[in-house]
Amino acid sequence: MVALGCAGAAAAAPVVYRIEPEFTYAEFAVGHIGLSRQRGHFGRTNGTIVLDTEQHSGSIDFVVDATSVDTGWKVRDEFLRGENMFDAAHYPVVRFHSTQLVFDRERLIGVAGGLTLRDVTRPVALKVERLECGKDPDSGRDGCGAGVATSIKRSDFGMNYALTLVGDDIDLSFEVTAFRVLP
Amino acid sequence: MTRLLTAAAVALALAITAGRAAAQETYTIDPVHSQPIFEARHMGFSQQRGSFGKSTGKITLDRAAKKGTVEVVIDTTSIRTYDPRLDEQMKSENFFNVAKYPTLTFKGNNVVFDGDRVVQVDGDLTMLGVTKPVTLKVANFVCGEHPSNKKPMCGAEATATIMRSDWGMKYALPKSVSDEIKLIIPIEAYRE
Repeated sequence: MVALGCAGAAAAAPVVYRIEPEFTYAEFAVGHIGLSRQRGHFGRTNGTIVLDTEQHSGSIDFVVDATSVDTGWKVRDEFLRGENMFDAAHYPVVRFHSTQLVFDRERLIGVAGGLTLRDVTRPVALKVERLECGKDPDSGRDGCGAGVATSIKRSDFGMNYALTLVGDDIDLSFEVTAFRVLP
Repeated sequence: MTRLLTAAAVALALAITAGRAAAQETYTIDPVHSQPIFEARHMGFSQQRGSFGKSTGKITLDRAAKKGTVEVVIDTTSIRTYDPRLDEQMKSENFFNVAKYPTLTFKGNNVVFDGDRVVQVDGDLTMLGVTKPVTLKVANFVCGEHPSNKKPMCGAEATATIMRSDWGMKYALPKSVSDEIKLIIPIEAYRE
């Protein structure tokens, strides 16, 4: 009974995970001239995740380096960093800060929070499409991988340039790998 | 006069439509808007993506006969992932072996239509010197003109799932890097 009690107490404590930038990225997809969907990603990300699966609480802070935008075409990357789009010189980071974590029993299924882009903060609801935890075979560390998605309108953040060429509806997906921080 | 002009316009439109329908159209792929993406599972808990920045290709379509061809050559040295170290790994002998195989090719010989829309392309993918059949599912096939340069063009998105071991790419199987690879290929192509 005592052992069970201890195990229960250990599980109840919030677990802190740190995002592993090497295996984490933020991707976006957007319609182009009504003919195709173009994708790009931000290679530099950082963040912290706190999960208490018993109390159904926690927090997620995620930061994306706006200058790390990469679409595989330098001309386009410069355009996206420029003042008409991300304006990375003035707004070098894109942030997400959670306000509420949504659980289905012990499983995290959604995250509500604020997304800050170009200094404009709007509420967004992230859907956790995939969440798998286990041991990293290389390092033996406890980690989790998640696929998280949402959709936004860029005009909601004041990014109104070239809406006739580059769509307003942006699908965002985050591929997140995070490792447990030992207390 | 208005009626005459309308009639002339209709006749011209019909002639153009008929002319287009009867002839085989050739399209040139716009490489920067047609970068093939691949997705693999890594270590069992993440999906990792990469893409090829350089490719060239031609598509022919005969909408009347419901036939067509696709020929795409991808420069394997243009591979990029999210991490430069991973790029080097991908270029190495363990994966794409770009020194020995600088290109991979897809030749589509059967273009499947649903009405006027291309919905599937059956063809052969040659990678690491091995040629195997691949079926591309095509979604959102749509034609129009570029809003800026007014050139006629078509767009679509093709997807397929392949097993990389079929082409002899077996490094880091089964768990570190998955055998199953999903391909996502946006396409924009200008009509010649």
